[in-house]
Amino acid sequence: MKPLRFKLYAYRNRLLPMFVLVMIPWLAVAPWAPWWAHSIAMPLLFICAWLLFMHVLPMPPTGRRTTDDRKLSDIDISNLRKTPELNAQQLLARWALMTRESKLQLEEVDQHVSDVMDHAESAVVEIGKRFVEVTRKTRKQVELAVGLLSRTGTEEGSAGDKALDSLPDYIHASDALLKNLGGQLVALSDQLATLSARQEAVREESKRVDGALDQLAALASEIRVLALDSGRRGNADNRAFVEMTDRVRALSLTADESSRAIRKTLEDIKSQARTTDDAIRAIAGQARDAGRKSNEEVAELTGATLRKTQEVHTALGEIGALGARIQDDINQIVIALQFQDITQQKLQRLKQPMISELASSWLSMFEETRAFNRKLSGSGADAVEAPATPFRVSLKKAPEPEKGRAAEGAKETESPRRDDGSKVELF
Amino acid sequence: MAAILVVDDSITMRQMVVFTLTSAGHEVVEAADGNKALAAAKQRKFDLVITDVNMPGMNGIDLVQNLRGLPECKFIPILVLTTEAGAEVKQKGKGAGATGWIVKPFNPEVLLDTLKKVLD
Repeated sequence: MKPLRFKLYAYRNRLLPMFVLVMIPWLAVAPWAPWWAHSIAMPLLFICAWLLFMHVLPMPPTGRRTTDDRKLSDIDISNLRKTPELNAQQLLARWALMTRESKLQLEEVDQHVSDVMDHAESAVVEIGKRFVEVTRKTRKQVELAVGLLSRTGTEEGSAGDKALDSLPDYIHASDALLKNLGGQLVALSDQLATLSARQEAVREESKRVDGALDQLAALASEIRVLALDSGRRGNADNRAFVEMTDRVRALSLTADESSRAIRKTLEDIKSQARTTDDAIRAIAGQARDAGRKSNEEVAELTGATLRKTQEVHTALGEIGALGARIQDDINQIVIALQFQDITQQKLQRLKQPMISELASSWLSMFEETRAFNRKLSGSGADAVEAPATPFRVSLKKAPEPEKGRAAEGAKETESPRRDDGSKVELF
Repeated sequence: MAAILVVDDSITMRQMVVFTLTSAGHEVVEAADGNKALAAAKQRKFDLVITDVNMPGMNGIDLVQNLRGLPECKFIPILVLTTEAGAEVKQKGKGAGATGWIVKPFNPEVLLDTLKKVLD
């Protein structure tokens, strides 16, 4: 609609003659034409008129384009300024057009600024939220780790008053248990050494029994000899028989003493055996008690350690999951910061040339209007002294400040996409 | 771990890339434009170059072309990390000798995966 309105405005003084010119042929044949020809010709006439007006009639020249193309010399411009009455309307029209386009540009800048503010605000909010999440998760992670190593629970240990809850507690308890087992084994070893000494004494006593038995065997042999001798001597000599009887009595006494000695030795051996048996039984009982107790304590400790190990495994799993989520949050923060940076760069590339161009355009228009104003108010001398510089109004993009940057600014007028992943293409 | 040259005129973007790469254990050297990057590439050997396209002075495409002219950079992977996503400019980058094209904003995980692929 803008070109149509501009043309209508620019050709407003010629619209009526043009309308008459177009209508003359139709008016010439209208009285003789049938009604159906009228109904066809009327729409066709208006369509043709519109096509001619829009596509055949040239766009009226504007001062801005003319001066930008440098088609007018400074003398031409000075001559134009000397006829202010003819050019005042054109200047005002250009003013209106310039103002309208400037307004559009300012609205565009305003839109971009708003976009930037929105993006910046959302990015800051997102960053803040992510950092809060990161902080919270990190704190929880640290609490888990610290609690794992130095937790003080309420459950009571079976062996003492101190509660076992942290992994070091269990390690210390296991260490104490092993030390206790070691002490008990040392005591057991001492008792076994004593037992060995007693067994040695039993062996010595057995040797003595062997000696006594040897004596008894010798006595028995001598008695057999005496018996044979007494049988040989028989009734020969009573004196000899008495002597033999004395010797047999003496031998009998000796054998009796030996028997008592043997009996006493056997009693001692029995006593030693009983003592040894009692000692062994006591040691065995102690060892059994110690073993049973140790087994119970080790089983309990092992169970607790296994449970604690399971807790450690779970805690490590949670720590790992939290670490992954923290990494994801950091990635999101990195992406949000990139969005903000990209948007800032785009705004910077768009804003600076546009604002400077608008400022220079308005300044030119202002100078020119002031000169015309002076002329219209009758001070021709002032008009001659007015600066004869050509119009510098331009709506094209400002000169590119740096190679490549303006091209990107022109291309990247759209807001950045709010996706979370980069697009990768390997050649 | 690799020695990587990161070229971008935006300090924020450069820091993001450097943060991502150093977190993964890479050694990173920064350059703010193509000329500085070229000077850095002449001073030492890099395993990989990541460059932006739109930079003051020498732009990224010219930088890739100049780097391919250096004997020490003839065969190293060069990734272009830019907001540009048009087929025409991608074709220019490919013609200049770029190994890959990553559109900003980049996801750190994706960037590291891509690095692993091109370095392997």
